[in-house]
Formats: sequence, C-alpha cells, structure tokens
Amino acid sequence: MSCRYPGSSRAAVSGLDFSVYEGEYVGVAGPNGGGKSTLVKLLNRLLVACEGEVRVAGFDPAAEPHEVRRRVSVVFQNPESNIIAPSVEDDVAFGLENLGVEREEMRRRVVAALSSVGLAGYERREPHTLSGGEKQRVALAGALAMETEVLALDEPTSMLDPAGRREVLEVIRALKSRRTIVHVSHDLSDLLAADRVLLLRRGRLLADLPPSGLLADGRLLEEAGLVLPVAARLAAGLGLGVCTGPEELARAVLKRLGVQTR
Amino acid sequence: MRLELEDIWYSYPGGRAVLKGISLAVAEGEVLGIIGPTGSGKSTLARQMNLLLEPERGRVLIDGEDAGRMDRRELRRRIGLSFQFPEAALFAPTVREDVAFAPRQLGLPEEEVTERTERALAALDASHLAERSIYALSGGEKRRVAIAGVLAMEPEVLVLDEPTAGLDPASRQALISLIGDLAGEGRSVVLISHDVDEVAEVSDRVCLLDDGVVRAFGTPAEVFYANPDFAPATVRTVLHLLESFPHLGRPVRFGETLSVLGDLLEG
Repeated sequence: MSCRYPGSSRAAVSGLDFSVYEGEYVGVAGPNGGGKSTLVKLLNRLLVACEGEVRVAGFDPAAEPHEVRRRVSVVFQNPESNIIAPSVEDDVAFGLENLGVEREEMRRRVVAALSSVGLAGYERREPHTLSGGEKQRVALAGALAMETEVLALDEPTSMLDPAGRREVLEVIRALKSRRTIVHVSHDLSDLLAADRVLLLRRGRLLADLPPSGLLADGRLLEEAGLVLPVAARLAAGLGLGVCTGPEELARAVLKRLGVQTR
Repeated sequence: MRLELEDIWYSYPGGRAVLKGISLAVAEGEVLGIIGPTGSGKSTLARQMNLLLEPERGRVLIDGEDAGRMDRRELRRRIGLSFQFPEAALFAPTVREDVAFAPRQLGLPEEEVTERTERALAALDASHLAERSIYALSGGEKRRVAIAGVLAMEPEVLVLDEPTAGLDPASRQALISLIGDLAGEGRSVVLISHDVDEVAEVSDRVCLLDDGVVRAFGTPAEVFYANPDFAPATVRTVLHLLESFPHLGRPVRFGETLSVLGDLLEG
C-alpha cells in the first residue's frame, strides 16, 4: 500500500507489503519521517491508503471503519493528548460509554484494565495529579478496556522519563501474546521483546527481522539511521555478540572471564 | 560566563512549591546536565535561569552579580533559552527569516544579522534549508531550525530543555556533538534531558533534581554511581561488574566504558 499527504511530493509510505498475525508483537522502527506514524493511522482509518489495500481481520478500514475500530485501539505519543476525562475511571470508561456498553460490564472492564496496567485503586484519581508514566498507563488501560484484538502504540514511551518508560514497557511486555501488538518506536531498546521488527525508512520497508537479527546487523541499522542501544553497542565493540541490556552485557562479560554467576 | 543559582524557591500562582531551595552553578565552557523525573521541576528551573520566571526567594548570579538588577533584555541576550518542543514557536515565512528574527530584535546591523544567521544555520547543519518554508520541514529539521534561532543570539549560556526529545538517533547525535563544540568555544550549556545516556556522554557535571530539590550534584560518576535508578546503561553495566571486580574504575561515557571493559577482558 501507499499513502501520500496532500501537498507533499513524496509518498509518506510506499509499496509497503506485510502481515501481522494474531497474537504477534510487532515493532516498527525507523528514523523521523520514515512513515511509522502514518502506518498506525492507516490501520484504523485516521488515514486512507491511496494505493493498495489494508485489511484488519478481513475488513477494509476505508469501507468499514467501525468494524475496524472495534478491533484496533490506538495509544499515541503524548500522554496529555491521550487523556480527556476528569477522573481516571471516566477516562478508561470513555470508549466503552461510546459503544453503549452496559454499566456493570463497563465497571468490570475498567477495574480489570486498571489492574492489568498496575493502577488498581486509581479509579477516583484526577489525571492531572498523575506522572507521565501513569497517564500513559491510563491511556493503555482505556485501550485495553475496549478489549480489541489489536493494540497499536505510536511511540508510547518517547515523552516519558526513564521510570515511566520502564513502567509502560513492562505493561506492554506483559500483554505480549495476549493481544496483537503493533508498537512504533525509534528507540530499538523499546522493541527488544517484540517477535519481529519492521524497519521503515523513507516510507519503505527496509527489513522485517527479529530484534536479535536487527541488533546483529550494524550495516542495516546504519542504513536505517538507527543507533544500537548503548549496551548492545558496547557488546558489539567488545566482541560479545548480541546483548540487549546492561544486565545481559554484564553477564556476558563475567561468562567470558569464567566467573560463576548466581 | 559563570551562572549561579542561589537558594531558589518558586511556586506557580496558587500552587505548591515547585522549586525548594535550588543551588547550583555552571562555569564558563561547562556542560551541566539536569536530569530528574517528570514533574521534578526541571523546566521551571530552566525559566529561572534568565528570570523568565522570577524566584520568590534566592538569587541568580552572573559572574557574581545579581541578575535581578540587570536589564532583562541584556540578560536574555546573554542567556539563551530553548523551550521544550521549540519548533512550536517558528513563525516566519522562511527558515532564514525565522532565524534572523531574534538577532534583528537586538538592533544589530543587517550585515551582522546575516552573518549570525548563516553561522547558526551552519552550526545546526541547516544551511541548505534557509529558503524553505517552515511548514516544509520534517520534525527533526524544525527542531534544528528552532535551536538555530536561539544560537543566532550568540548567548554566553545556552539552556536547552529536552532538545533531543522525539528526534531520531542521527539528529540526536548531531545535536550532542554541537553541544560539545559550543562548550569547546567557551560557551556554557545547560542540557535538560530524560536521556541519561546522552547526558552522560556530554556533561561535565550533572544535577539530579527530585521533587524540587537537588538530590545530587557533581561529576557524572559521582551522581550516577550514587543513584543507579537514574544511571545510564554504561554505569548500570559496570555496577553489575563491580561486585566481582571492585577495582574496575567508574567509567561513565560510552568510550571510556568500552576501554575499561576491554582491559578487563584482556586481563
């Protein structure tokens, strides 16, 4: 499929051809302007493809947006713009109210969603008293409460501090294999738990690889304008193969030195 | 120029205290990294530095002189502040005109305005964008142009609030190198960032802000090794190894860490 914004001479995405299967966790990475956010917007018809087709569970977002939106929920980058209601509970329930979900069912889903993002007991809190990470988890809870099959996350951590980032990544990782997840980020270290990563550059699909394959291919990353996470770069520089984080790198160093670890 | 903050207190009107007795200093040619959780007061602190927000208590000192007694225009020329998402403030029809706006407001001769504009655009690797409409730029290009606008003021201290947020690694790296270059020229830079890896890479000193107070202030090694929760990947890796190798040293930056670990592996 292809998509071009009005007034732009270059297609935002072009010739993209891929599938995401049920229960998969797919990362989408690439430089600014690579087409990552456009891709998310094509999934639930915030944008319509000019060429080619998009199908979500067989439905065409352009023709049957309601069927598609029943199946795809989206969380955006900015925690401030994901939250609208005066209380956490109302915010998580917002989507459900619009679907006319029955009251008891709504309550059940709100409680379950808040608990799965680690915010049980936050129902009456006012969103403006929450940290960035908490707000983004409320937004995730809102998406979860919709009980959609697909969760599309557009840079959900890029505006958060390190603690907030860890909180949100933990929630996403816990959802793995319980939902189909499309997770956009230009930080590869966010996507290490994904089943595979689509690498987009200038609107084209440059690669479709598991994260370990991506980390091992320095040339490909350079071509895509991506930099390895620090621990992975250190590991590569030390000839220790693929390491995804500081803990793993330290273990690899100890192993090479023959030091027993617990 | 040496910029000092002395026991700064600040609350937003009707709100609780956001800054509760902040003291710190940036020496000439130094990069000070400011880190801390969301809501810890980082952006409020940035606005105290050129008295865009006036402290309720405490003083801002420039080379030992009370900034509160200085002409505000002069103060803001000397201390340039780039806000979070500064691209939101681009407004002129072309990139060149936008960057030239601030130096022109200083009443400089047109020749000087042109020179500064070109220099600032070149420093941000944006010379080729000069004739473009500000609406025909990518996110990363807009950010660079916006920062060029502050740089064209040729401030002695440059305060950058989350300059790399939302940028891809290549643009981020270019900006971090620029910060190093500016400090090399004798300018002071205050870098506020959530990205502790980049703060570790470029800062001479680091201030960890938490709930409106300075929780730690010192060299990157002092601050990061004492506060592992806020430490970059390099430090967290070494912290794991220090248990087995107490004499490992305390590298902070990527390159030093690589060489320390390399030495360890070679025995």
